[in-house]
Amino acid sequence: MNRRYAGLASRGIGRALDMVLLAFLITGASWLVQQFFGIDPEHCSPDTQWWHLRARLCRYFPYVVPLAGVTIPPLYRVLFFVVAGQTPGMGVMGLRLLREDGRRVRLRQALKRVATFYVTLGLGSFLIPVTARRRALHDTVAGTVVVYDWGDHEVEVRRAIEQARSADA
Amino acid sequence: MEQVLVALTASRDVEQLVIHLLRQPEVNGTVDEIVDRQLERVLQALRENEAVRDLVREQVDIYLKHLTEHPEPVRQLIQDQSRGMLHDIQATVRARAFVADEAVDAWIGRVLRRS
Repeated sequence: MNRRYAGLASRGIGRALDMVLLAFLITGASWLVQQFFGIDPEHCSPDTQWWHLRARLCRYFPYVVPLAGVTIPPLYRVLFFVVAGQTPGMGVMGLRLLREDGRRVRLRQALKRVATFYVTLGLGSFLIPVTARRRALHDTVAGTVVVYDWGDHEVEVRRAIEQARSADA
Repeated sequence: MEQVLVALTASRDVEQLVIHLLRQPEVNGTVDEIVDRQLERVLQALRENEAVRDLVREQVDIYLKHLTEHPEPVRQLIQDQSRGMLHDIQATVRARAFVADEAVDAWIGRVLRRS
């Protein structure tokens, strides 16, 4: 199969873009919730009755944001891998996640990949430059590969690569 | 005087003589200088002319009104320009990352061979 496998730099930048996007999403959503419900975690009214939902939300709000920070990123990755085969950050960098045989990733592979990534704290990524198909540990476990997919902009990117190479030479 | 001028402009020989003279570098330079000087004077007069200013203002108003009523081409132009610029930036980032991928692989390869 004549595929070009993506390396550490492209994948790292894609991941960094996703992290920035997630940070904006989570902080933005928490700000919106605070504004919508008028919550100020430092001045919560007592929740003396079970139906005092706003007071309860206010009390637990300081724990909600870190919890979202832990749970949303893996869900985001699994969702985008299954639905689009790439996260938005990967999309910007022109990367696509595929199964080893070139087919689309399904829920099982996406879950395995994301779970392995978080269990190994992403350290398996350091295998990318030393493996034949630039596979990280989570790729090997899930049976996936990350390839370049520049879509309609293939020609522009190739031209830019030539320019970058000649500028570096 | 007028009759003389009409007769001269009608004459084929005079026309050829003028063309011949204008092709001479030194004459051509002089003519250029005269035209430039005259043009500058005319442009200055036009700049200071209130009627011309009114005409320009009127035309600008007409164009602005037309653009306000039909903003689609301008909007399309701006969108195309922005999209083109974004695509260029994206292509550059992707290309740079691609080259960096190769560089990382090459560096790791060298380190591993050495050890």
